[in-house]
Amino acid sequence: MRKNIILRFLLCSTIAISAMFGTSSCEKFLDVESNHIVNEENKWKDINDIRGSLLGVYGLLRTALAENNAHWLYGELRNGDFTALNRRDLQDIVDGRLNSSAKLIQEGSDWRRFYAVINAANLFIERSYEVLEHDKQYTAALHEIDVAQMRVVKGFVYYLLARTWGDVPIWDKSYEGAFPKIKASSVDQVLTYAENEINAVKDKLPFFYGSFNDPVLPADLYLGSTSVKWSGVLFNRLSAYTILAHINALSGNYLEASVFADYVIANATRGGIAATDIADITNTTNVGFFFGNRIKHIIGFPFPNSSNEGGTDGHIESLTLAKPLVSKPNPDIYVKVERIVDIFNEAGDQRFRIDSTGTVQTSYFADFGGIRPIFKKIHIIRNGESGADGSLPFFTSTLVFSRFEEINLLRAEANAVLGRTELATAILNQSRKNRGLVEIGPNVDLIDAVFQERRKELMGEGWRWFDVVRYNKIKKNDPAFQKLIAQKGIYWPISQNALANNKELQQNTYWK
Amino acid sequence: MRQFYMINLAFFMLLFESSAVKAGDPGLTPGPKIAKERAGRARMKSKSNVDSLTAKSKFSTIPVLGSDTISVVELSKYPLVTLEQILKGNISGVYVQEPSAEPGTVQQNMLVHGITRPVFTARNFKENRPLIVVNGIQIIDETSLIYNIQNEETQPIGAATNILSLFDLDNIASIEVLKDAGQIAKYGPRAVNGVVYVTTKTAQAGDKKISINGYSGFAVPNNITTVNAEFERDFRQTFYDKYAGAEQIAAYPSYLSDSSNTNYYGPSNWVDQYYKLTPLYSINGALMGGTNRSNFRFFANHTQNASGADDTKFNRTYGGFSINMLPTTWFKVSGNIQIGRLARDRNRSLTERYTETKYTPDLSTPLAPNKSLYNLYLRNFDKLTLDNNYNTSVLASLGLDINIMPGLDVTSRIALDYNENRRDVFWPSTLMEGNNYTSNYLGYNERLSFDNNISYVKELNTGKLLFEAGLQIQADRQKYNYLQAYRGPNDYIKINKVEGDKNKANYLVSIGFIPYIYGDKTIHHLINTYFRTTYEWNGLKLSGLIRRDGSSWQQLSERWYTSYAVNGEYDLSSKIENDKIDILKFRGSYGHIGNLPNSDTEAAGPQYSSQLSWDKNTGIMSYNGVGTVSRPYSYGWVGYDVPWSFTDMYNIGVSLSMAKQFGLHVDFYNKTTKNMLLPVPTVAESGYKFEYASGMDVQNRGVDVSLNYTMPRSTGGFCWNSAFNIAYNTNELKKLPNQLDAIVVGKNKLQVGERIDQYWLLQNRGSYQSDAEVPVRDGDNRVMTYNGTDMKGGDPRWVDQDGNFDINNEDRILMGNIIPKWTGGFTNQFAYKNFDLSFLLYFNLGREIINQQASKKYDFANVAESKNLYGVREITSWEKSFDETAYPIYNPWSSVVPYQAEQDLFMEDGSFVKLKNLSVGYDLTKVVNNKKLNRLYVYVTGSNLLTITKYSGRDPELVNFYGYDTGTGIRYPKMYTLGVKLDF
Repeated sequence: MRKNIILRFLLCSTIAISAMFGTSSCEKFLDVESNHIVNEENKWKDINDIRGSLLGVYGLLRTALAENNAHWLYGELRNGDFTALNRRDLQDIVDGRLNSSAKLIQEGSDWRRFYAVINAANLFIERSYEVLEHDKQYTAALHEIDVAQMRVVKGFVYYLLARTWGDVPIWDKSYEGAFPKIKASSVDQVLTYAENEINAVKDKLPFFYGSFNDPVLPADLYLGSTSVKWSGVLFNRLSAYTILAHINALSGNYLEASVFADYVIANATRGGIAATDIADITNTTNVGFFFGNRIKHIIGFPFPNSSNEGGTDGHIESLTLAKPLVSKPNPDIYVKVERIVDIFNEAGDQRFRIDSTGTVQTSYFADFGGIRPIFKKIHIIRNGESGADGSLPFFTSTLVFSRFEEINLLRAEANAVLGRTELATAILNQSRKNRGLVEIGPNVDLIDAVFQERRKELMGEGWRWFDVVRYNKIKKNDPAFQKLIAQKGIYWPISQNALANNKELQQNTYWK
Repeated sequence: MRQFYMINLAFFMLLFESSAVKAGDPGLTPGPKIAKERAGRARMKSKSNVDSLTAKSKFSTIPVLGSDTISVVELSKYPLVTLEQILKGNISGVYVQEPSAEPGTVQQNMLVHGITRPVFTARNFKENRPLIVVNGIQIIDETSLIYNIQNEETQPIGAATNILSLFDLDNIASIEVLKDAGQIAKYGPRAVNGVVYVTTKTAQAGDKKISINGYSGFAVPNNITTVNAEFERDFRQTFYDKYAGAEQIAAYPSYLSDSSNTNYYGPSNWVDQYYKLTPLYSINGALMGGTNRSNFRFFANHTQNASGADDTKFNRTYGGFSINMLPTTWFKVSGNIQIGRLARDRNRSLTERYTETKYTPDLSTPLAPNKSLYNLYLRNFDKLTLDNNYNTSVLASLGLDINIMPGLDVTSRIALDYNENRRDVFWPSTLMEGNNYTSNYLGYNERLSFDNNISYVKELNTGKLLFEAGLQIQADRQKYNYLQAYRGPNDYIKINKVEGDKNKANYLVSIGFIPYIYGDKTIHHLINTYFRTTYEWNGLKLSGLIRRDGSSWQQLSERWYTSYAVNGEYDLSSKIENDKIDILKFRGSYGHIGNLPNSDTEAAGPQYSSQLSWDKNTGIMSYNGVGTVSRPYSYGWVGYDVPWSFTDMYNIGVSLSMAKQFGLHVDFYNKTTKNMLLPVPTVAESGYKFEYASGMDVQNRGVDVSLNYTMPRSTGGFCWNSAFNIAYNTNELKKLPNQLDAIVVGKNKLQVGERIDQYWLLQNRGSYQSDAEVPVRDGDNRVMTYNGTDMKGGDPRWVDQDGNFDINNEDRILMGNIIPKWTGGFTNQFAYKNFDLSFLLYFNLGREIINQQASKKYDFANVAESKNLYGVREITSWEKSFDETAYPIYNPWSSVVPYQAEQDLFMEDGSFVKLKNLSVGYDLTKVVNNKKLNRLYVYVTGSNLLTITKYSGRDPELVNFYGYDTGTGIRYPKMYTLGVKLDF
């Protein structure tokens, strides 16, 4: 019996010791690092955190513009050249019924995605200096450039918010959990804020990221890669000036707008931008203008196929393409034949023309002889090599906000408004010449002609509605539209979600 | 923290200083034997001790009652494959929800005493589920991680098989549901939503025994009325006549426009291919025997279950082995291993396929109802398709049980629960616009636990004292790898084969396919300690428990939590001078128990993750090929110091047993779960969708009643056993975080003072026949609008609750019950001589259903335009499953969405009573009269025989967690089986 008791004790002690082993280190045992999130302790430590956060801000901006094809919902559809087919939600936008209860419109009216960009940019501005202490690779000069980029992004987002919703609140800090309810500032205040943000840093930005030839940042690598990776991806100096030109055009300060636009064009070669011929614009392969990141994208958001960033949503192709280019039987939106013929009414237009034999020559549209022409100007599928193969329509076209032609036409617009007719005409004629058109006649309304050219050139790039607004602000010849402007009907309604969570906000008058 | 160490210290002191032993699970395994008893005979010999669970520990304060256990023997006759189905209707207070009767599908949920957290997403289902314990092992649930990469939450990617379909009832000794604080506190923070305790049959000493059981039968589809395009055209004609404009007429669907098209206008005979009489069977055998010192039990089973619809089947191959060894009289080693493999032939529905492929092709033309066309479609699945769904599960434990001295036992056990979930899919190009698709999913969930318990019994002059203490360490690991690939070279290469050698240049480079690769992993560590004292004397039992739990899913500052529970019961029967009263017992318990978080996300506090994906493109992880990290804008802001959520619960009950015939058990409970973390919609300008704020309190109250009547076997040989259970449950939202009064999340609203399982609907009061009927406000001539859009003739007349002449969310009101107020079952067993007959009536009362199936039929205009899963029309949409005259005729193209499901027009009473099971058996043992034969019993059963309901849809039992009947789930077939049970 005695022996037994000893044995029993021995056994129990083994268990006890192993149990002790388990518990004595229990605090350690309960410290488990997550595999899919990064906590505060492990963040802002090295240059990789900088890269991840910086690109995260750009990525959020891309998401904001791409989700639900928002960029085109806001810019292309309303009052535009496209008609929706079997998509009453899209037709509601075309017809300006933005208070529709369609889910797409409800979601589109929510500006949260844009403020996520602002919050992320604010956070970067507030916290990125911490890396300076931990990682010697991250220098003060780099930090200054990164913060400058973030401020330009912020300015850009406020510009987008202002042109879409009008009066919006300004958030200058990330607030991190203690989120205040802030009143909306007026459109002018918002645009001024945006302009100031960019103005303060615009000349700190390089033309090229990761190029030894850049005057500001002469280094072969930026955040580990050369300019091949960053061109057309990160905002450079020309991006900043382009945004400034647009901010000023939106607020009607065409003098400033022309200055900024002039800067962009004057420095085009330094920044590597140039005119693109129509064959490149409409090229569907991997050398096409809309494929991947290009230095010519002054502001662009790529969805590279190589890292599976493409998809259906977020590309105008998901709305415009249909049989025979992809397997979808009908497009969601299309431009009616009569309207195409009406818009492209000049001989020699490389984008669309009917030649003397009555044959249609176009690189913008497919299946023109069918019931509905397919708008295929932008048409990039997967890796582009299989351009003709639309059976698996994962689109990878880059969302291009501005390119040489766009900013150049804005320059023409500004100069035309300022009465510098000669310069404006010259710019416009050059643009027209690039597309196979003759010079405009002496009796043509210059402003009309500029906007008409923008309409043709930028079709499907999300500009039409904002151009119409600017046009009407200049011309003031449409009383109904003036009323729309006065009642803030040119803006989208503020979403129920935003209104419900911030009682300081007020719905835009027109949508009350 | 100090508290924890003190408890530990106490535990170790006990361990070292004292000198006797007992084991396992002092609440549920056979109680410790008193030394003198043990001296005489080996402990395994006593059958009641090993095979019966209801006669549990002598010291347990758990009410040892029949009310919360099921009749395993009776239920083992029926073709029930999941734990949820087994419990359905058999235990009061348990509610089972399922949207589809597809055998073995993961889309089944179980609730004990209602819901404590509102359900907005599929992840929320889990948060309400009870803990499943099998032989003392806490079963690990499937991970929700996979939902992070899904566009739709119809069901999780992977095999999507219910792992609780592993067990065969013939190998189960008992299933109990533990509901109150006194019972569940021992199982720790996972047990707050109740515990379902499954005990498998274990080894026992004696001569070799063999038992063989089996049944076979058929799943018999229901009678279906089918329709073809003619019906659809006629149905739509009314709307076209009344409301269609030129645009609508121009867009008239082509499959309906040509009435000479026999594909659509011909016979609608697809049912012959879809619904088929399908065999189902089950066979199992058990072998047991051995000596008192070492004995074993071996069990093997194979089961096939089927629904008779869409060729869905479920197969289970399962083996169990248990062994007991007694090297010395004071030392016991017991091992138990259960291994099962589950395979499913899944449905071929479009919804589930597109959920998986994340690619919705053109939906404008539905599948044709014609048999030959449907056959052509099905042929794609016969040869070219690969769809393997396997779950492998291993439950193993090895326990040591040491009796140190009389009254003092130590047990130690190591246990592993591992389940693996695998799906390999290939769909040929003919199914999806010329693109083939392949995917491979491999996920596993693993829980390793190490349990140590010590118990000491002290006999006093006035009663007994039991001390127990336990320490449990659990390590969970959940992981998945998932690859989906599109557009392989042809339909014969079904696997995206890649180079696995890291050193080769083409490492993991896909050949031909366009691959997308995903993977994720979480780890959870949990430490549980508890100490419990129980005192028992003369019909009185009192017990107190205190525990301290630490979880790695809590933030550093809040890692540990102290929970406690007390309970007691008193049997008055001995005091009452009435020999008719066998038991008159009052009981009550109170507990305060911490709740675990549901993921590791909250533990990190303010955090960063990739945020680039959105609902329609969940695969996007990088920006121009660079991985990014941002604040969790779409998930929500998580702050520091997130405290533990906890549940305060109490219950009081009475049990009465009279004349050895009547039994009555009534329990009232009230449990309030407090401080729950809730994603609260936050200022949109913060960029965050939500802000995680703790402070939601939900109270659940209810009564569980069960009544038993046993008629003793009369001289004529007739006897009758009857058990009726009914449970009432209701909940109330007591508090929201940040002093909020109400919040709106999607289609739901949470309002303090109201239930959390309510619909939020518009009230429909007819229609506006013409534009002139639309009300206009005096004064400013404002026309009634819907979210700002003017209402017109042909729109519904919705009640403008706030009188502002705009119908919006403010006009939606909370109504209906998603979770039934009353659930229960009524079982009867009659026996006459060797015959017996039994049946179960199952009922849900006081609940409403949103008949979304009907709403979708009327909403054809939006369905046709929908580019997502809402626009999918399955082959079953050619069933006539709604009354085409029951609803008003609105303008289906109106932008106010007149047929939206979120209005009381589509809310229906979903109460029902079902004759769930019926069986007739005959005991042939005496007829055969063979010495070796202990039992020979044959029986026939029928399942899902009859439904009584006012509900107009297909089946009120098949409703999803949001209370919607989508009409897409597979129906319950009638099942008939013939079975035999043989014991040698």
